[in-house]
This record gives sequence, structure tokens and C-alpha cells, in this order.
Amino acid sequence: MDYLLNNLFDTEDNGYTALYNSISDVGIITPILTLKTPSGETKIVDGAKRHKIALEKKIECPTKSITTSPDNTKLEIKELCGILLSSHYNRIKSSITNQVLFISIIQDLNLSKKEITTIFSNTLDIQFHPAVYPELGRIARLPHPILKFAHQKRLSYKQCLNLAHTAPDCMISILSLAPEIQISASLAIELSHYCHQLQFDKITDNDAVAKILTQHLSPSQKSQHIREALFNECHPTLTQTNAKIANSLSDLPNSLSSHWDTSLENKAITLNLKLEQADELSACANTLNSPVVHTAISRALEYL
Amino acid sequence: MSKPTPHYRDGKGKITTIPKQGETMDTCATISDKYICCNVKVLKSVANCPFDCSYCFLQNYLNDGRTKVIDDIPAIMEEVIEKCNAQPWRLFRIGTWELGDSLALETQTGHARALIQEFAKLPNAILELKTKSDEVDPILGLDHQLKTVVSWSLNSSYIIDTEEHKTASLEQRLTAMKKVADAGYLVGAHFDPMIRHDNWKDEYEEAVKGIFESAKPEQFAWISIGSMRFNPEMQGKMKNNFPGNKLLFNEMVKGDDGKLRYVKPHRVEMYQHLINCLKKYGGENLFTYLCMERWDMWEKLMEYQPRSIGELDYYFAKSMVERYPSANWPSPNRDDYILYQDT
Repeated sequence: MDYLLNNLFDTEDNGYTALYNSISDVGIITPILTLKTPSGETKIVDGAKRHKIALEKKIECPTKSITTSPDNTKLEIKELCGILLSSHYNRIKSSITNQVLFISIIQDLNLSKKEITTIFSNTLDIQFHPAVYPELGRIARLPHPILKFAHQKRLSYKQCLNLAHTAPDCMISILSLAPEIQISASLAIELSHYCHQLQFDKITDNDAVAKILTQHLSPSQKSQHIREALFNECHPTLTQTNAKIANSLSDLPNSLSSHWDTSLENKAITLNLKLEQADELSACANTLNSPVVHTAISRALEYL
Repeated sequence: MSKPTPHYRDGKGKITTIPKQGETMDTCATISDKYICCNVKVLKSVANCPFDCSYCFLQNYLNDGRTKVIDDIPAIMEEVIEKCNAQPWRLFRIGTWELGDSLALETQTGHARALIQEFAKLPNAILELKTKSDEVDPILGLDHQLKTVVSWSLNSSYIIDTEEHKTASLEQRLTAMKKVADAGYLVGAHFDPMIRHDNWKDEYEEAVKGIFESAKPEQFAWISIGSMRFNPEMQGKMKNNFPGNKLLFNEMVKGDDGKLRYVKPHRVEMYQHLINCLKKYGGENLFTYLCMERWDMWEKLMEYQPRSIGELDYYFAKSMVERYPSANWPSPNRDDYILYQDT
């Protein structure tokens, strides 16, 4: 028998051991609730752990059955949602992923967006704008490893949605690199876009990435190197132009350091002057006015 | 999930008329003080569009899918007249293309016809009807008094055929342009968004050549140039709505407005090519401007360099007043345009 909320992720402490000990002592006191869905399947609404322990211990499991059919009143369905919410409040509330999965389950029970919104805002103090409902299914249908990542990292709705717009196989290949590399949601999405642009199905299909993974580097260093390698492959013109700017500015004296917007969008070069003694100032002024500096800056600005 | 997910295309087929609520006239939403913007005003009288361009921001912007049209031209004009009267020294350019196409729905709504006749009476405003359609027959016989510019969003044939779904072909747009030019209207051309593809240089040159076969250079009120840009969130929408689309496989960076755009060396190359083509086929006296670019791009590419939004607005007015004196628009004062650029 399937559990209606099977897809939802558990919270870290799901109380299983304590419940097991209690049932061992006194048996199952509260019946589990089962639901017969319109498609004829029987699913556990409440009591999945009790059911599992009963099976394991081969003891009787008292069951109370609810039947839902197209004739069910909205009231009955709302009552069912109330049971689910009260029994699994912490679990549902624990992440956006679980909330989205929960909504996808109760949407199957033929509740309107408005009714779902009311249940959520009243019971869980969570507001989903009706406009997001069309996108929730996209998140709920994500493959398990991606949903698990979203749940574990407690991603926001927007982050979940961004994940849902990436290629699933590629995203799974990126997430599978953890813990070898350090992966945040934004990095995973960024890497996925690079793979899409470079038309790789999996991140490990990229030679540069495969090579970095073999190097003796920390997880965060590997993340950084992979990000840079893929960025450069996706931005050949930008990489070449920045190299030319860097080359132009390499003629600057050591006392001057330079910075520019490497996206090339802002035409400006910032110079920092390092002074250790006040009397170095006049020499620096001469340096700034020197033809070498002028030529270097002019050439660099041309590229911007 | 049992309930079908509504698709953003669902509302493109049916028009819903709505009353005017709040202000309809506003400044073009893309205006940003990081860029030299043209300060065009827009009438938000229509939301959604029957066309289906793969790069269109509406797929990421509209959240109720319906095609909504404000069915109250008198109320819209009341607001326009009030705002134009408040700054009689200013030449307003007012478009109806903010969230839709100015002419695509004309046979159903009759909006453009009504607006053209109303704008003909205004002393300091120009109506811009921007379209990717060839729906011009309903407006040909109107007394527009030179107060309406009918402009086309133009692209290479390849991009029109592969990315601008359900729109008129380049040939159809150019034929329509010839009709309105022959009817005495001023015309406009917007080569925006320029998109890189195989043979893009030759194809854009063909498009430029085509516009000057449809209208004389002096009939062009303005010509704009811009490149493809979109919010990063659009990438997901485009992948979803247009599977296999190649537009995302380009080298792009995020600009100061948060939008992705081609890297600057590519934009410079594209714009320079188009400007050269415009000079080759249309001569030196066209009023051409860049859309959503910073001052340094103007410095690299253009013969005039406005340093602010107000100053570009002034150059527009100056160009129109000098080239079309019969319209009797107010002579522009540069300082006023700069001082009041945020209004």
C-alpha cells in the first residue's frame, strides 16, 4: 500500500525510533487512515510509519478508510487536507520542495487554486500567488535527485523554479559531483546553462571539467576552476578581449594596479596607487603622467 | 497533476475588452538611467499579441494569458491631451506597442484608426504605431496630418522565418511599408533585436536595402538599432516554449539592467555593419539611434553623442521639427528637455 505523501522528504528527525519503541510497548492505538482514490488505488493518508512498523513486527494495524470519489463534497476533501496538514505540519512546512509536492498531491483531489491558497495561507501561513500554480507542476515533476537537493538546501520557490528550467539529466550530472565539488543552487544553475550553451548532455562530457576533477584541489577550488573553465569556453570573445586589456595594462609600473569591468559593459579603468611614504607622491605623479602609462591606458580603453 | 497547466499561448487567440483603469500613458518600461534611452512614451492600451516571437519578453511577463484591449479611446485620449497640454513646449512621441503589436489586431479593434484621427488634432504629439504585421489597409485613407509614424520592427528574413512566428514576412512588411509611405505617412524602422546567425551581414543588408525600396529616405522619421536582450529568467521560458531554439547558444553577458545581451565586441560589429548599410542605401541624413546602449557605444558608432535621456529626446524633436516644418511642432529647447527628462 502506497503512502499518499510518499514523495515528500522527511525532516531530519522523523521520530521513527521513539514510535517503534512505543508500539513495541503498547501496540498501535490510533488507527491509520487510508484513502481510496478516484482511480481505485488505496493510499495511506496518515500513519505510514505505524503501517511500516506493523508490517515489520507482524502485528495488527487498525485502519480507518476514507473513500473519495467524484461525488465527494469539497467539505470532505478539505477535511482530508486538514488531517494531512495537522499530521504532517512540520514535514510540509520544512521546505518549499515539500510544500510544492504537497500542493501537487492535493491538486489531484480536485481542489481549486483558490481553495488550495486558502488552506495554505490559513494553516501554514504560506502565500503562493495564483499565478505560480502553473509552474508548481514543473517543480513537482523534477527527478528525485534534484528535488532532494532542493529540499536539503531549503531552496526558495524561485530557485526551485530555476532548477526546473534546466535540463534534468545535465542537472543530475552536476549534482552528482558533490561532495567532490562544492555546489550551491546558483552554481548548479550557472553550470547547467554553460553545459546547455556548449551543448553537453552531462557536465563530465566536458574535457576541461573531467581534467579538473582529477586534480588535487579542495572541493571549493574545484568548483571555482570548473566555473571559470566553462565560463571561458562559453565566452571566447570576452576572454580574448580581457586578455588583450590585461596585456595592454601589463606595461603599468608596479606601483599602479588596475581594474576594469570584465563583462566589458562599462568603459572605465580604475587605477589604484600604492604609496608607502608621503614623499613618494611627486614621483607617482610623474609616473601617472608618463607616456608609458598613457599608452597603456589608451590601448586598454580602446578594447573597452 | 490532473489539472492541465494553462499555456502562455492560450490567450493569444481571443480578445477581452476591459475598461480603462488608472493611467494608461507612461514612459517606455525599459528606460534606465544606465543607458541612453529615447524617452518615448507608451499607451498601455493592449496586453498580449497574436504573434509568437521566440525572444519575446511577454512569455515571461504576462501572468494571465488573456489578450486585453482597453475599449475606451475617449478616456485614453483625455489622459493624453491632459499630459501633452501640461508640457506644450515638448514634442511627445507616444507608441502603442508596449505590451503588444500596434496593428496586428486592427481589423478587430479599430484602435489605430481612432487614435490616428485623434492625434491629427494634437499640436505637440506624434503617435507611433509599431508592428510586425502587414495590417495597414484600414489606416490608409485617414487624414493623419503627419502626426502618425507607422514603423516596423524589422529583422533579417532568416530571423523572421525562424524566430518571429506568425508575423508577416519581410517582403509583406516592406510591401505594407510602401503602402503607408504612398499614403503620405511618415515611416519608421526598428532593426531591433538584431540577432547573429549564419550570413547575418548579407541578410541585414538585404533588409536595409528593402526599406529604401519601400520608402524614400526623407520619409523615415527615425530608424533604431538594437540587439537581442532578455532577462535571465527568459532562458528557461525559451527552452520550454521553443525547444531546440538556438538563440541561447550565443556569447552573452549581463548588462547593468540585469538583462543578458551579446558581448560588446559583437554588438559593435553588428551595429557598425547596419549603420554602414543605412548610409549606403539611405544616405547621410537619416535620424538613427541606438536602443538601450551606454554612452560609449554612441561614441564609438554614432555621429552625435547625447549624454542623457533628455538630450536624445531633444535630438528627436529637433530632427522632426527641422525636417517636417509643415507639421508646426513647437521648436525644441535643449535645456528644457534635459531638465524635465524624468517627467
